Amino acid sequence: MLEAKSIVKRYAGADRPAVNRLDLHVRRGEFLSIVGRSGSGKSTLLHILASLIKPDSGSILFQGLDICSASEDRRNQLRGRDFAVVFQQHYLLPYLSVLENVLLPFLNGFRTVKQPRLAMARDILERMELGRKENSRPGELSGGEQQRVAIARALVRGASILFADEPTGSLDFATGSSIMRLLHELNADGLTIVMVTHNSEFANSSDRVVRMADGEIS
Amino acid sequence: MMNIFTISAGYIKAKWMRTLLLAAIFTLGIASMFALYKISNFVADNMERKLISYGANILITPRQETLKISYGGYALGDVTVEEHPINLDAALKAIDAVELRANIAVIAPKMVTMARISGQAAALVGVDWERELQLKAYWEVLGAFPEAGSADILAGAIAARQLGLAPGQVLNIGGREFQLSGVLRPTGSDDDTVLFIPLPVVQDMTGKPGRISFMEVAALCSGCPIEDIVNQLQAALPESEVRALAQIAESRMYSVHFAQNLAFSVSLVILVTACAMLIMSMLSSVAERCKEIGIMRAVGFSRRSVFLVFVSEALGIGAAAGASGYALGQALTAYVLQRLHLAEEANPAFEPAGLSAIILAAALTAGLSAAFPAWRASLVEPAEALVSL
Repeated sequence: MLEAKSIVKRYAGADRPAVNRLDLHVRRGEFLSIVGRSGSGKSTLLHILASLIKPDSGSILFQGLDICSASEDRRNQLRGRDFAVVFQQHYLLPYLSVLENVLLPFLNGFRTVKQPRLAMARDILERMELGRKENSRPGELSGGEQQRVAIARALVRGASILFADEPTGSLDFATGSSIMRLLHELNADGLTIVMVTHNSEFANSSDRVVRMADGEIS
Repeated sequence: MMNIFTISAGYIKAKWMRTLLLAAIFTLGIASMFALYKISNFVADNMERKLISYGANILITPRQETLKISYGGYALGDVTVEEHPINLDAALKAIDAVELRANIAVIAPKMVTMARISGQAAALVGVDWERELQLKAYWEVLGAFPEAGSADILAGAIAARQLGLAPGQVLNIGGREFQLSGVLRPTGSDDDTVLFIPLPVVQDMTGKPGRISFMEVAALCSGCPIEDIVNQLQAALPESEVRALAQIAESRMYSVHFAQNLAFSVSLVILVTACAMLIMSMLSSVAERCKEIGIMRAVGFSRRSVFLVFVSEALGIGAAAGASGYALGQALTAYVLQRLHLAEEANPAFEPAGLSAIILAAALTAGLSAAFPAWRASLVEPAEALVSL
């Protein structure tokens, strides 16, 4: 589904590349975990795969398209429609309601969000057990609820692949476990997931684990 | 209804204090500009009207060729060799055709002659009542001013005293009877020493129908230099002498231009200050919301969409400030005009078109001011924002 070939990324001033000639193949419907110590390059790799950062060299093929050489518009389209990203922090817009936050990917133009999309957002919120909190502000939710809203926002456009960067990193174990259960449910429904995590228990619950060290797969 | 404006509206509501402050500054700027513009225009118009009431500022006389003659030590004085008389209809037609005709407020033709009244010599000045009373708005009268088109006459204060005249009296001039409708209160000018009589009567008495002795002209000088009007009149009336009463004209122009330039300068300073504050505020907002921009970009917002989020916030603030600025400006204008005792003459009425224009201009100004910060926001790469995450 997603194939990275010879990816190299070096940050200015760094003595070695964050990601060094890395190859990775993500299969459709799999739950892949990327683990490694801090600074091993796992988050950089995830951001490159999610089209948030351009690598210095190499290519990433998604449905036959090399997203590294794709136009700005095409990359925006990918991020908006095919890829979904969840971060360690939820980064919800505090002045929008839960429903508005979930609909954020649709709020990028003058066109008003129509009923089918509203219904879709409400369905996802129901699935996240947040149906009754659609009018709440993010500040009124618990950490786990906020992360579930962030996942709902990521998935509202029907993405086929979810990139999760330490999605349980800022949550306690119980809340983190509930988020992991949710991710497994989504994966069972066919969503491809690539997750970066420090938690070996959560990593081991996925289909495949990739270990990174010094920018390479070890 | 949810679209890109939901984000702007949400942020504006959440940061209502900041929004209110920005809108207040913009409102003050717009209100001051609006009020200064209106007041300066009212005052300028009023000044023009008042200055016109001080009399003419251009004189049109027949071109004369004179010769100073003396013989055997005896001075015979200036002798007119050739005179080019002014034909009233032709002159008015020529004046109507000049480019700056709109700046000519009043044209008052006159014909001067002498007559005997009750055995005493008196100077008669033939005038067109309507034009003359418009030019000499400062005249005050004992009795009444003659009606436009009537055959009544008016006496200057000194002339009336010398001839023993009183309002209502009937005078015999050149075999015809005229009623004296009023006596002018002293003006301190030549007007005190003459009798004013309808122009056609004097033309009949002198046997020069259609002719006049000279014309006094009051020109509005806020829109152009008096010299331009004089030059155009001179070109239109080559057989006449056209002279500007320079001192009056210059002082009129100076006063009007000074008031308008002052208002323009103050308005410009206020507008630039309001725009600078909006730019600073938006720049700090962009820095503060870097993570938000990163998230928007991460969920597929294009650079144009991010740009629109910030510009639409400014447009909203500008439009609101435009509406409140108009209302405040109207109130301010009315208050100042009242304090200047001009409220009765100038009525700053509500104009829907003016309100729309101000809202549009304010929104555009705010939008343009926000363009640079919004452009900076649109340049944020998701990766850069993520580093700050």
